[in-house]
This record gives sequence, structure tokens and C-alpha cells, in this order.
Amino acid sequence: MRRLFLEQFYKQIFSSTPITSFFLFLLYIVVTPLMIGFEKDFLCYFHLGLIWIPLLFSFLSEPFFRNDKEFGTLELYYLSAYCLPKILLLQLVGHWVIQISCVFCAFPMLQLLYQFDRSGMDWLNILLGSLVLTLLCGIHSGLALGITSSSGWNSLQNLTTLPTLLPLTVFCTSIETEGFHVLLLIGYFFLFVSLYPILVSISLQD
Amino acid sequence: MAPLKPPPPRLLLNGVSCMRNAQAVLRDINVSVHERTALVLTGANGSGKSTFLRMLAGFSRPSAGEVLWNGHDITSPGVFQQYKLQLNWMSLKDAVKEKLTVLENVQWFELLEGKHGKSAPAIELMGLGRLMNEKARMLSMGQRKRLQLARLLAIDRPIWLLDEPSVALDAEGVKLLEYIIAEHRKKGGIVFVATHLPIEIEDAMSLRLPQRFPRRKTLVDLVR
Repeated sequence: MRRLFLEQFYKQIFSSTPITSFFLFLLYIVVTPLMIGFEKDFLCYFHLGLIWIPLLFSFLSEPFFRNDKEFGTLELYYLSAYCLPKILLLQLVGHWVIQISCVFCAFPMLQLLYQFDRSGMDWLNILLGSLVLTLLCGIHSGLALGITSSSGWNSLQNLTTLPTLLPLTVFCTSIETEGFHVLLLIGYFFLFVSLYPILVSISLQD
Repeated sequence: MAPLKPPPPRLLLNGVSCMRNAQAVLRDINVSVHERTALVLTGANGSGKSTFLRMLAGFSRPSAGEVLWNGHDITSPGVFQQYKLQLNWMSLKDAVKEKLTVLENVQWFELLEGKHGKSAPAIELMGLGRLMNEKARMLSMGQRKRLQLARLLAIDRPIWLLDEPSVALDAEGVKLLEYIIAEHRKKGGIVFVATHLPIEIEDAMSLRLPQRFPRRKTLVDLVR
């Protein structure tokens, strides 16, 4: 039963997670050195910022719960015996796992172009940062579910998301304070934990 | 010998009103529903049939009155957590993922209930057995509705809330729907159906919801 559940869960997550966002990320990290140049000293110094910006853009393009609401799946999740916040959280974490796996697949390219693996803190930074980005974008996607206009969704989503992600992006792109990144990301994670019950209740407003 | 008392109602609506988008859609609804009962909701477009079902499902809260399940108000959180496990919801949104197979679309929700093994027989009963391993994008509108009914059978909960269940079904599909409703009631289940199309349900109660906006009188009415 557990194995079958995990198998079905993987299929559910994989079918609802488009791979285009990863290709967007891959496109950014390939094209950026072509525009800036292949000077190793320069790319080595700014590599965190250059990686963070495409990662942020790839997460912003994900409408996490919108398809579930439009197709009526969210209503069935609400009435199921399984806990709805747990289902939504599993979806977010599943999406994050797939996304970060794709980043790991691109590791040789990151190392070749950006000298990425210079210190172990870089990987921890990317791991925690992408998790926090996923959770925060999940919050904003949930808050935006009540907007019925499809044309206004994208603009309002980005307008509400970017101010909250700006401190995260500004601090995490700096290479001098790598140790501080982890503390900042942990603080953001606690912020998400406190806001998550509110997210679930608001996303179900009729 | 003391006279026999009738059994208490499973669901009781006392003076229930419901608002949607700042408009009173339902006013002063009083319904008493026992086991093995079917309630058919009829009315014009916009009279509140779907709102009635959504209120029973807990997606909307009544603005007045109370909805009692086994004598307890379903709007309280503790009661609702038990009450929602009795509900089987079917709406016009089919909740079908096109990238998954027919079996997986039913099996996923069955696994969320902690159950296993009823998906394949339900799909066979609804006539989709030969399409069990096909992608759901291959299904027509009627076959999607049959898939919803198969999910209904696989989850198997006592109270069914069906919003337009016979839309896009052919004659054979409607007979199947009538059959599964009858079998569900034999087991002591309750069925709420909101429909425009005729469905033959034996001994069903009928609740006709009035129009939201009464028709304005015209000169022709005044002359009459």
C-alpha cells in the first residue's frame, strides 16, 4: 500500500510539474556567460547571483495550485481522508525535489562555467534557497487562487511575490556572507511555517 | 404499548440561507433527510442548486439557520472533520489528469482514503474496462463522466452530492447512474442530485428552488 501510494504520488507530481521551468533555468545559465564572457575570475566572483536569478525566474513561472482548482481536484482533496495541508505540502516538496534534481543534473555545466563547487556552502545555499523559493511561491500561488481573471493573474502574482523575495535574493547573491545565508534561509523557512495554515484556509475561499 | 417513534433524520436543515457574491441565493430552506433517501434539486438556472450542494459539502457556510448531521452542527470544526468523511462529491469539474491513465485517475483518490482494490471493478462496471490503461486525454465528455462515477463507486461514502451527474451521458450511462444510485440507497446511503435532465429515482423527494430574481410584471400581466 505504501509503495503504491508513493508510486502514484510520484506520477501525480511529475505530471503536474512542467519541465519547461528547468529548461528556462538551463537556458539562463548557458546564455549568461556568452553575454558576459568566459573570464573565470569574474564568473567565479559573481556566480551565486548569476545562478540565483534564473532559479528565481524559473520558480515564478509555476502556477502551483491553479490547475488543481480549475479542474476540481482541490475540492476532492479537501473532502478526502488525507489532510489537505499535507497534500499541498507534499506537492510543493515533490516539486522542489524534482527541480533540485534537475539542478544536480546540470552540475557539470555549473562547475565548468561558474566554478560552482568552490566551497560546500554553495550547495547548501542552493538547496535551502530553492526550498524557500518553492514554499514562498506556493504561498503566493495559493493567495492568488481567488482571482478569477486569467489575464490579471500573472501580473498580480509577480507584483506580490517579488517584494517578499527581494531580501532573499539580495542577500543570497552576495559571496562574502555565505554563512549568513543559512541563517537567513532558516528564518524564511520559519516564516513559511507560520503562514502555511493561513494559506490553506485562504486558498479554499469560495 | 408505546407508539413507535420515527428514526431521527441523518441530515436536517433548519431555516438555512446562503449567500454568494453578496446575494442571497438560498432562503429559508427546511429539509429533513433520512437514510435511504434521495433528494432531487430542481429549478431554473441561477436558483442555487449548486450552491445548495456546495453548502452541504462545506465549501460555503450558511448565512442563517443550521445544518445538523446526526444532531450536530456541521459548521463546528470538530463535527465537520467527521462529517466530511461521509461525503462523496461530484461536480461539473471532473478532476481528471489527462497525463495519467484511467486506472490511475481513480486509484489516486482511493489511496488517499487508505483503501485499495475497488478501482478496477468500478471502472469495469462503468464500461471503461477496455480503456483502463489508456491515457485520460483519450476520453470523451461522456467517458469522463463515467470516470467520475467510477471514482464515486471506488471511494464509497454514505452521502453522495451529485451536481448534474447525467450531463453528457448516453441512455445506457443514465441507466447505469440510476442503477448505482438505487444500489447505494439499498445500503442505507443518501443521495442529493441537482439536475436539469430527468433521472428516474424511485421514491425521491423533490425540492424545487425558486428563481433568484422574480420576473418583473409587464403590461401584458397587468392587462390580464
